[in-house]
Amino acid sequence: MRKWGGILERVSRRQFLKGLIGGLVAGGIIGAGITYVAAPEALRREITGQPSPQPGPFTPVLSRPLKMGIQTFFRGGGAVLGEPIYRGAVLAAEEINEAGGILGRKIEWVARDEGTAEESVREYRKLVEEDKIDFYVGITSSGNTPAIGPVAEELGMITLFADGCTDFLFEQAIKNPKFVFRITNIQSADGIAAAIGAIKYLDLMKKDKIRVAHIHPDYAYGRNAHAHISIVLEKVLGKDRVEFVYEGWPGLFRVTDFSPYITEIMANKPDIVATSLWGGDFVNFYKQALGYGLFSRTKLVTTLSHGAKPQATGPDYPDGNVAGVHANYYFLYPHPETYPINKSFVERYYKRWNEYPNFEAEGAYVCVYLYKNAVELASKLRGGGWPEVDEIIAALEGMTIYGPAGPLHIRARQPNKHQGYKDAIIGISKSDPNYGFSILVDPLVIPISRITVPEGWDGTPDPKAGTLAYSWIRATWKEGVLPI
Amino acid sequence: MVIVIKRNPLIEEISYLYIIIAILALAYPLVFSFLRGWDTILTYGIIWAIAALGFNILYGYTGLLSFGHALFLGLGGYAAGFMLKYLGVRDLELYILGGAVASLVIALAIGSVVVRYTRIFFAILMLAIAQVFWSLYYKFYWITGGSDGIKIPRPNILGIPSGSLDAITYQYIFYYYSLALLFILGYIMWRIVNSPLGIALRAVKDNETRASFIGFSITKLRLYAFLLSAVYVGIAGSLLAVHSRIITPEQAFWTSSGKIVFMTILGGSGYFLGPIIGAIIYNFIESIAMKYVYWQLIMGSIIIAIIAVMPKGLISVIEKIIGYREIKIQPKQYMQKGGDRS
Amino acid sequence: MVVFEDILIRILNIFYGASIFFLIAVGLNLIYGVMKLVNLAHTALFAFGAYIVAGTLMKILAGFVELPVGFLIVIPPIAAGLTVLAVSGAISPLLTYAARKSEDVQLILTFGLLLIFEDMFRGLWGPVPVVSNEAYMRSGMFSLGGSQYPLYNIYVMIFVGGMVIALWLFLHKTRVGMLFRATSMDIEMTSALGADVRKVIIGAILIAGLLAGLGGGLYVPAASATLGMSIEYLVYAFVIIVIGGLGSFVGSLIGSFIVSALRTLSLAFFPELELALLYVVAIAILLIKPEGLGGGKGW
Repeated sequence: MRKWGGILERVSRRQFLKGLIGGLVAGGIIGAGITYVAAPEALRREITGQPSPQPGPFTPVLSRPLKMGIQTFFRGGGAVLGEPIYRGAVLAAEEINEAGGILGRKIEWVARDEGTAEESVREYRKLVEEDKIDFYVGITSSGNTPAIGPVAEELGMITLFADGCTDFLFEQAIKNPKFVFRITNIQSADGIAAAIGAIKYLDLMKKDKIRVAHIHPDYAYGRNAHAHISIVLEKVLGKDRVEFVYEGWPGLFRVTDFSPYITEIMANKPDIVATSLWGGDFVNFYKQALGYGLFSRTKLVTTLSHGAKPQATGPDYPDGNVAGVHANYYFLYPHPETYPINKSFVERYYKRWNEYPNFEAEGAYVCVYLYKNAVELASKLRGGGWPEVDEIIAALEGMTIYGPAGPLHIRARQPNKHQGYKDAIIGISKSDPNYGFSILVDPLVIPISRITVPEGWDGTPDPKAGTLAYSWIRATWKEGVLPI
Repeated sequence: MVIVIKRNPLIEEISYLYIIIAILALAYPLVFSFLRGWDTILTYGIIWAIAALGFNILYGYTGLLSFGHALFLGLGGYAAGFMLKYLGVRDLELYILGGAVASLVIALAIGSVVVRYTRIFFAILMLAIAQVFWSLYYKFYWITGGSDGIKIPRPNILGIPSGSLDAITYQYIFYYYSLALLFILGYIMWRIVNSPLGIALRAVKDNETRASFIGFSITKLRLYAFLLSAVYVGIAGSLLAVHSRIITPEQAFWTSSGKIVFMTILGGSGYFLGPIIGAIIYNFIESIAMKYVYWQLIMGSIIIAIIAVMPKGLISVIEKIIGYREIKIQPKQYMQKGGDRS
Repeated sequence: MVVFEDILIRILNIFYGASIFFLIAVGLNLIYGVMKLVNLAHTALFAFGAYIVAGTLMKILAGFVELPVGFLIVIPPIAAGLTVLAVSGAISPLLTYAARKSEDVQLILTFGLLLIFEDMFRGLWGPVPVVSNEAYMRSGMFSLGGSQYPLYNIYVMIFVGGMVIALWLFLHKTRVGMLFRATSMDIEMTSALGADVRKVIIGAILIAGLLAGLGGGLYVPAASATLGMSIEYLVYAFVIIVIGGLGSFVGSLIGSFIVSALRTLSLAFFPELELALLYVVAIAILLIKPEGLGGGKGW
């Protein structure tokens, strides 16, 4: 083999192998040796896989502060949903610290950014391994919870997902979770609630034919909403009465000019337009749609029109459209005047952050309080002292907590073990001069047990829609009957 | 009479590669113990180094800038994902093979057409093709998992079943496995670069017209470089998906192509080791920068600063510090009867 | 059920989309023609114009008494155009530096600039989309049979139509315009003949910035200013210059039109394939006629 200028030596295969093996072995030995000398304890534990020594039953409660890891979107289109997670969690932590902390330990927090699945997993690992958090609250995107979940299980970190509500998480990604919990309602409930809202508010049962147009962001959430809205409409109204006249799939936050979609939708003369567009996409869409007179010709049925930042849906948003809040929480329900927990939450949140809380904020807030309650309960059950991780988990399972949205229950059995359940809200939009933006009025409270797969149901997820809920609706709901 | 020439930086001695690999081998246990959390970054650095190495045979040596190599990253990742999902494959070796083969196949399909275009046309063409695939990954969501992607649990490495290893051991094995791959692939690349093929590629880059006059088939040579780069990046793609435990369309988005380009430039596309150094350092920079809200500002400024201050990359700076190696030749070596020996 | 007004609305949308695309593409092509620089950061200037209007100007104006619609639709875009013109001037040293480098380095440098702009938007105006569509809403709509169409869009089309004519006249009927064309055809010869090509280059940068900012300012009332807008339009810009041909005025028109038509029509008939279709057409054009449909480097 020719070499440039004949300078360089040929390298024989033996030399190559020697170099490879020698380098790796030498490197490994030297590295391990240095580690042993410098930190023998750490090395021993790593090699033998032993955990750090845990406090025994009679160890006094540690006084060093608790470290909470928060991970969410601080930038980009997701920030409108994500930042409130940070804000809700921090508000809860501050309140708890004011009241003395959890068993006397104050909460400190470290926040990291959420990004793509790869980036989020990396940052999560750093939170656990580098920042050494004690528990974790976070995640907005449904693309990230299934990626982080298995890592959380592997690393053994109590992980409370405030969102990332995809059905996929506990139905397929981690079927038997130990450390991972999720507080906000499961994603399928969203589309189902929106469809039920449409049927009830827009009196669809009385119509002969209903023309439905769809426009959803092209990613898992949009597909999920599309599938579940469609199947509920078909089941309850009857396949022969419902006609799907158009489907648009703009990329999530990739489109600012919706006019081509709007004109296509209108050309198909729908009775209702079902959409799970949210955040900036939704604002763009409705403002542009106003110019084309969409709202005078049809009604919008949304999963998230009022769920991002409540004040983002401006006073120009037309009244009488089905208003969704991700089937979770709207700051006016239960009305603060009737429910002190919500009153305190909304007032303090507004005072702290100068905006009204959305469902993400409520979710994160409840995550922290849930953890506190579980720790306190576990401590009581073991006779005092800081509980082990296993004990905290046992306390979390089956726990019910009263949050600003009302009671939330953490499921202890399959399917969807460790999923949080609270009643779903859907409403109608109305512009309110007192607030200066469009609010959700006339809330319909949908008992969550009627729109989610019950404990013990043993079906399989639908292959195309990908959820248990889809199969469950198809198998168990009666035609022509609204099951609430 | 003695002729003194400066060493051609594109074909450094193999010993530098050994040194780098040895340093990386040494570094891992230290990073793992003292800088926990950064060990993952180092692993990513190794994997991206493989991608950048492959990319550079096309860019640094053959002169074709592609802004669409995320195509092969995606193919590699989805090859692993599909093998898992539809064939139940759990072995890392097969994932890597799948990634290499998938990339090779697609590269063959588009290669002979694509390499006839140069410069900006080639860059944009590759970008457009990569984007087509990217949008397909989204659209055919019931096959690819759409935006959620396909989850890839820990594979079996070297025949060892994944379940039998605890987390830490697995990470160590995976790291050294990737490092060994980098070494082997790096060595192969080094041999290629120093072979007649490598010299021919450089000739094509330096002066296309002259190269064709000598008798080289420009298109064929470019195609070989293209195929080679595709295979390397494809392998990196499957490793990436395995390390992240997931493959999503993001891996195939053009920003990933941009990352490969950036890493290569950062290290120095005119150097054999440039892409490797660049990839490792880039991953650390990115991880640090992402701690800050304005990380894009930081990355963008770094890109501009590098081009302005050290356009030949980090290695050129290191070189200046260490000093060029001068090589003295006695011309007598070359004046034998019948010319150079092979 | 195809109705005449539906077809007409689609055609109007195509023209509207093309108008916005044109303002971006012609600037990009102008810079390439004169400096042989591929400026990936150009769409960031477009976004800048949108942000300046929605995020700053309209917020300032909101404090004033209700302004007439005519004012609102004309002054903000022009103000945006001038602001971005100034910004272009500020970055022109970087652009002229980049122009001296090889094409790949140009791509990398301008990409870095794009990233910087994106974070600048974030820092100045926040991560949440900035909306300000008073001009759009107050322009009202007109009826087309059973449907409606926003008048603002019509206004934009007329405005840009005027710009097209004005630019063409500038390039073909004025001495300065002729200098631009000459520089883009053969910069050495033009310089040798005594023209100050440096002024032409700066002029091109400034005009391109003006047009991009104008485009952003016109666009934002009907949409919003968002992070990632630069990237969204960069993708379209790529396809436009591929289809129309780099460095061509006519190409900018043709490319903008075709891409807008493709987008509108694919949304009508193949909504699932939208982006993929654009790329496929771009690939096809690149393969068949790499210099684009605009007839090469002609102006």
